Amino acid sequence: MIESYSNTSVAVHPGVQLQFLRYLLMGLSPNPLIENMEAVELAAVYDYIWEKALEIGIRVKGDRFSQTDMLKRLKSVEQYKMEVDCTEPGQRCISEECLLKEAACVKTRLKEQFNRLYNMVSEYLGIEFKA
Amino acid sequence: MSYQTSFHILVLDKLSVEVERLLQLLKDSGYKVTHTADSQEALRLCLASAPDLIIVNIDERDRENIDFFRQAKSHFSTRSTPIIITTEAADHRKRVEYIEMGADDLVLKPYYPEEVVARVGNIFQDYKSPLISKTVERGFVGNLGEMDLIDLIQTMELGGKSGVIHLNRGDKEGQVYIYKGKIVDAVVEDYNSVERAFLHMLTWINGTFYVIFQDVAVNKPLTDNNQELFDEATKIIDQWRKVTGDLPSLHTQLVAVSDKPAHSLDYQEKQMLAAFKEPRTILQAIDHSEYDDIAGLKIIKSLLEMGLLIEQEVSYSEEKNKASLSHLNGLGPRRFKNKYSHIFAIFQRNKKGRDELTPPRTSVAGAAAEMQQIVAPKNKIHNRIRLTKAELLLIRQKLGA
Amino acid sequence: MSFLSIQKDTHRIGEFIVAGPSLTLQKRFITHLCNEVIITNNNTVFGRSKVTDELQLFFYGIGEKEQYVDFAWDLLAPKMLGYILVFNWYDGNEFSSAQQLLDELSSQIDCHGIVVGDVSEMSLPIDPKIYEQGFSFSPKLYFTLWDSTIKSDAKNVLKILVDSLINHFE
Repeated sequence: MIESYSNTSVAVHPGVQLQFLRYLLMGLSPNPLIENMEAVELAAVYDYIWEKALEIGIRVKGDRFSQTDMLKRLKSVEQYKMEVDCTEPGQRCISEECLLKEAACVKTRLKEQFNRLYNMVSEYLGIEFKA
Repeated sequence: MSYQTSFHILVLDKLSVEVERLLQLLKDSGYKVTHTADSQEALRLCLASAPDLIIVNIDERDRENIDFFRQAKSHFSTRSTPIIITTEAADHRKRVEYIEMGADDLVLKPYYPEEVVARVGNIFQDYKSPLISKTVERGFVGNLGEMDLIDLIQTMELGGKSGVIHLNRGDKEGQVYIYKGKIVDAVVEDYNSVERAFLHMLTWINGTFYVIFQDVAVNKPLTDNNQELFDEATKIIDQWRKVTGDLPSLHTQLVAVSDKPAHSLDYQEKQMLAAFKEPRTILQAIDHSEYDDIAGLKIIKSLLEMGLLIEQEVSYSEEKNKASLSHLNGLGPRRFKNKYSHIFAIFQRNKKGRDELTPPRTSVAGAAAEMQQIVAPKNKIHNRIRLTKAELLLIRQKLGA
Repeated sequence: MSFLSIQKDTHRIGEFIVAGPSLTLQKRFITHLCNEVIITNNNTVFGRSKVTDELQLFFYGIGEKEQYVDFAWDLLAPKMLGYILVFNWYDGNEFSSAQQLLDELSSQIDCHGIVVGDVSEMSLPIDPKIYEQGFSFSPKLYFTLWDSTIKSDAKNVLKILVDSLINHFE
């Protein structure tokens, strides 16, 4: 499932986008950037980075690119919910409700997704991912 | 099946697993697929290049897609385009209502994407290609995004053809009459001269056309040299840009300052100032004035510089309406009536980006606003692009492929 | 034609500001693109490039730390076509400066721009085809990488910016 926070996200400063993009292109884990951010901001950046990851995937792989393959390498909402024993309906995880009420949980999940995404992009770019 | 590759399907629905799967299946079946979750964007896409079939999701809580459906059913270029509605509406009366509104098929959500693709196939089995992108017996049709009026006239000029070019911009229709490759007449609402009507339609870069080859009444040609006409029209547009360069957006509402003395003004300035007793936009004032557009603008510029006109603050909802596409689908009020003003409304000066006009989401944005500024400062400079598209293309050409 | 008057502009000018923490990179960028370049004692770079007899491009490389910089922005920003923000991709300090300037610019002015990281210092292990089309931050703001010693890279940067301007009309 493609996670999109477009219904909930806020505007992201271009400087923040640039920072995340720099880490992405250098194969660095974005953890230092994530630590200082709130979940709601992070959700918006996630949408942006997901888009860039797609672009990079398409530019590298061309016709062989498959969004499904990318999605398979991310942890699904259901999987994450099982791990943290969450009983809420699935869609709530990427909704405004959890972003506000369970911000720490959302942030933890997004952090993991970011790292998986960054790792994937490093592979596409042919560079080492420094976790 | 090879014929499927010529069919273009527009899907209007929020992205989800089943929609994504549907998009992929349609592409795998050989269709050209466009997806959007925004009804205004869908309308824009239809105007630019009418699809062969539309799949639209209708959610009772969100009226925008219903509005889109109605507009698509009434608009010239899409009224005969088959539309499949997908909906979660459990109430059978709602479903009947959608069919009665004109849906060609209805699929309940959640659906198997394979089922939708099969229904699409059935529709195309019985369906003749729509008017757009089809050759008619004595002419041709298409969209202005791919072939503008100048291209059309040049085509007819090459063959020494006679006929009528019918143009549709979405909110307006017009005709250009060609006799043996020369323009002999041009007709569009609110323009009482052939020259102005023609110049106006030159700038219709989005919309549809159809050309019928036929005999036309022989009038004196507008010009013996079409190319010279096109070159001069471009210069007129440049001149307009230059004059409007120092003005705020033509959609800006101005109002006369009542407490400033105006006895030193000449007749023209007094007349123009009187037009702004009540707030109105620059375009409205020019439309209703007796002066040529460029002369009218110069008068307004002079009044602004003297401080006799000031900008009237427009409320948020009015700004949003200006930037929305409602004026293109004929549902909004017709703002622009005559002369060149209509041409330049198309350029949408100081067009604001979506981010600036989209209202902050109340709860999440409220939380985020504490952390970061999301509202643009009021004194943000809005640059306009001071070169024309043609000049930018020249620069691009020089930079190389 | 009696109903159409012909008026000729003698010069049409497109103006760009080249900014960022590195004056060297500003100079290189402008020098690559311009026929005529002047570098002043106050570390300002002016460049002029002729496109046609009637159309020219002016580039203004303004420093970062000098006192006049704010004034220069005030004068030039309202009429510029766009800005190019250059910095050393590998230098953390330059990156931070560029990031701050970018945030300030994007909040003060609604304009086309491109942020460019220079990778000339060491060879980048990424295929250029991945970044040479640019990455967007928004419909008006783009990012790419370039080698400041290569003229064609400078042209590519300007191409991306000009393309975004052209797309604005579409």
